[in-house]
Parts: sequence; structure tokens; C-alpha cells
Amino acid sequence: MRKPATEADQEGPGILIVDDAPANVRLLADMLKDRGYKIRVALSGERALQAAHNHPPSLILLDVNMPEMNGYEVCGQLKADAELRDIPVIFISAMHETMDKVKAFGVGGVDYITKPFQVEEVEARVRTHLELHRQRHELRRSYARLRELENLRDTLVHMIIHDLRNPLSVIHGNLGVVLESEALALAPKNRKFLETALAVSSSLAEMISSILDVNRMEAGAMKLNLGRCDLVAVAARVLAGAEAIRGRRNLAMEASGGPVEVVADADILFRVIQNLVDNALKFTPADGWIRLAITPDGDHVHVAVKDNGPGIPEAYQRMIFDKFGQVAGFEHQQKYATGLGLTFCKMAVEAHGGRIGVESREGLGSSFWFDLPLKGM
Amino acid sequence: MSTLSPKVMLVDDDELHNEMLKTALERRGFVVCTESNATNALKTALGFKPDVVVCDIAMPGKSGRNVMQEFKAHRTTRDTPFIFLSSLVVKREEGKSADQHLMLAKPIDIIQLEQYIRECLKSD
Repeated sequence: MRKPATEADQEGPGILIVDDAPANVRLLADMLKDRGYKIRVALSGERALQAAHNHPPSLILLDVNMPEMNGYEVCGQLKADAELRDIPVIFISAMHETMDKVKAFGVGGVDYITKPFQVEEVEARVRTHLELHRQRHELRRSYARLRELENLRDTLVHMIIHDLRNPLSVIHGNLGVVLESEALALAPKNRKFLETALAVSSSLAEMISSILDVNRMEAGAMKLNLGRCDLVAVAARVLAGAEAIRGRRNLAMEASGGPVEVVADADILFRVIQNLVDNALKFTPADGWIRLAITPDGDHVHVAVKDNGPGIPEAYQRMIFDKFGQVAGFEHQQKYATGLGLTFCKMAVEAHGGRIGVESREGLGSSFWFDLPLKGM
Repeated sequence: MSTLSPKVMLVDDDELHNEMLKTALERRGFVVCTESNATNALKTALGFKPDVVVCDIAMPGKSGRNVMQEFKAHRTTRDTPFIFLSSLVVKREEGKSADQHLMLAKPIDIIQLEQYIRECLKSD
């Protein structure tokens, strides 16, 4: 079962053996050299620290009982040094000596070996800890690389947002200019086309805003402007805004009657409902229907946007609110939501102390809902 | 402030955006001048003498805030109010920014922009 040392073990920084008894050192060194490891030796704690500083080894075999500076002290100093603290330390002690194993681990040792040595045991432990150390190092490097990529992605998102918004602002503004000045001269049909284009460019702006908002909420940089607001009135504004893009779809509200007051950020709530309604419109057939229901229920209010669209397979229901949850569906040429709208909704509702979810059956339609506490937060 | 039509200067490296806002504002009775090079903004302003500057935040070479600092440092333009436009804020962040300047998110709501300009003219 003996595996030869890898090239890295032979050419890398090697193993540092620290023991004040030259005979012990020789035995151990020969044993490991035979297996192909690169070995360095230090005959005192002081020299070991010096050697580690000069050329950090990939592992240290450290005798516990040494005059002047014992193994625990050496280990303590290694662990206190940011440059050296990651080097795994395996303690060595003779069977007849007393080794405080708890102390050995306490000062940062990863393992211990007792003399007389058994070659296989020593090598197994050395190999294990070298491998662990290598993997940890690799993991840390991958993590750093990932963070770098993540930062790059965020910067890229910001760049794209900036680059998209300028032309969008030009489109939106110019449509507005034409509608404002030529409204009377336009044939009603053409005016409708322009109004639709204007409404769609607003939705596009919303989508882009959602990306920004999700980024900010993730960074904890978005504050809520809380105030008393009437959910029914907010929802009515959303429905009025959706008039231009609903086509022939039937879009209506089922409210219990009077106003439903909550303590919330009205702008955010508006956008949550708008996202849910927009989403429903996109995934409902041209002659379909969408119902917005607001139902106070005990200490909370239940808001649901129901449609008779194609529904969402169960597998996607749970991930549809995740930032990259839609990607899974997209890869299979299926789309159940657009952009980061639903991710925004989830973060926004949760920031209000509420819950969000979806109930859906394929072929029958979907109901996206959220609950908000009725009493102040 | 001029007794004639109020003068608005637009500073944005996006010329199409400048043109769009120029048309929209001219139709609302403003006299408008555009500058797509932030570095020339002060020079243009010294000639045009705007009552309000509407300025993009992120421009190549010089940021909108740098442009404003230049204006503040010059005797003639020291008190000219600024309204900033940004494609990196969202609608709900519009209004007065931390340093008390008005901020609008792109795409611009022209009615909101007109309202902001009028506010600036009033407090002038």
C-alpha cells in the first residue's frame, strides 16, 4: 500500500524535523527520505523557528521534550506568526515520556506520533496532513479567486446597468416628447402603439432597477422608508399602470372593501405588486385573467396575484425566488419569470417582516402571494 | 435670474440624451444649451450663463460632482444650482442627495425634471 511521495513533496519546501537528539532525527529523516520526502533538520526550538522563517516548510515534526524551548513553546510561536501559522505541526514524544495530548492540540498541533516509530504510521500521518494542508491552501486560493470574480461581476452589472439606462432614457424621453406634442395629431391606433412602447420602456426600466436593488439589498445598503400606507390604494395604482400592457387579459382586484393599512415602504410595496402583476401578465395567454386579492387575516394581510397561465412545475417553484433560480428553467428552454423581479420581491417582503411564496399547478395557473404583518413592525 | 425664459444648461456625454431633454425642455418654454464634454462645461456656462445646470453624474474624464466643484470655485457660476442625473440610482432615491443636491434617476421623468428646475429657480 506504500505510495511514493509526489513530485511536489520532493521539490517543494519539504518537512522540517525538530528534535534535540541527533540519533532520533537521523532515524526519522532516513525513514522519510527513503520514501522520497525532502527533509530539513533543526536541533533546537530556536533554530527551528529560524529555519521556518527563512524557508517555511510544508510540515513540521516537532519533539515535545527539548531543553531551553520545548515543543509547545515552539508551536505557540509558530501559531502566533501570521506567515507560519498555517504550517501543520505534528508532535513527537517517546512512549515513556509524558505528553499532554490536550495541550499539544491546544497550542495548535494537528496530530502526534509516539516513539518508537512505525514507518507506516509516520508516513500515513505525514501524508494526510500534507494533503490536508495542500487542499486548504487550494481552497483558500479558489475562494480568493471567487471573491475576485464576484467583485468583477458586480462591477460588470453596474457597467451594464449604466450602459442600458442611457439609451433607455433616450427612448423613453423621445416617446414622451412625441406623445406630449403630437397626441392630437396622431391616429388613435398610432397613439396606442406609442403608449404601449412607453409603458414597455417603463417596465424595462423597472427590470433594470430590480437588478440594482437586489445588489443593494444583498450589500445591506437599502433602507426602508416606513410609513402608514393603504395596500388597496397601492395595488390600484399598480393596476392602473398595467392598463397599457394588459392587452385583452382580464385584470381585476378582489379587495375586501375598505382600505387595508400597513406600516411599510409604499414605493417598495408598489414595486413588489407591480413585479408580480407584470410577471403574471407575461405568463398568461392573451385571453387569460389575473386577479389581485387583498385579504386581511388576523394579525397579517394576505396579498395574492392569481393567473390562469400555464403554471410552474413543482421543481421550479422553490427556486423561482432565488437570484439565479430562473437560470435552471432557462437552460431547458423554459421561462417562468423574468429578470431579478421575484428575487427583489422576496428580499423586499422579508425586509418588511413578511413571507412570500407561490402555489401553482401545471395547466391550471399560478398564485404568487405574500403576507405582511398588520400591526406596526 | 433672467427675466426672460429661464436658461437651462445640459451636461451629459450622451448627445442623444442631451438632444432629447433639450427638445422636451424647449417645449416647456426653457432656453436650453447642451454640452457633451464635461471638461468644457465651465467655459460654455460662462458664455451661456445658465440659471440651472442639469448634469449627468458619470461622465468620462470628469464626474458631475467635479464639474459642480469647478462651478463653485468660479465667481460667476458659484451660485448656479445643479440637478444631477444618474443611471446608477433608482427612482426611490430621487430627490435631495446627502449633499443637498437634487438627483434624478435615468430614464428621466420629464415632469419631475421640470418640477425640480422650477424649484431651483424659485430658491434662486
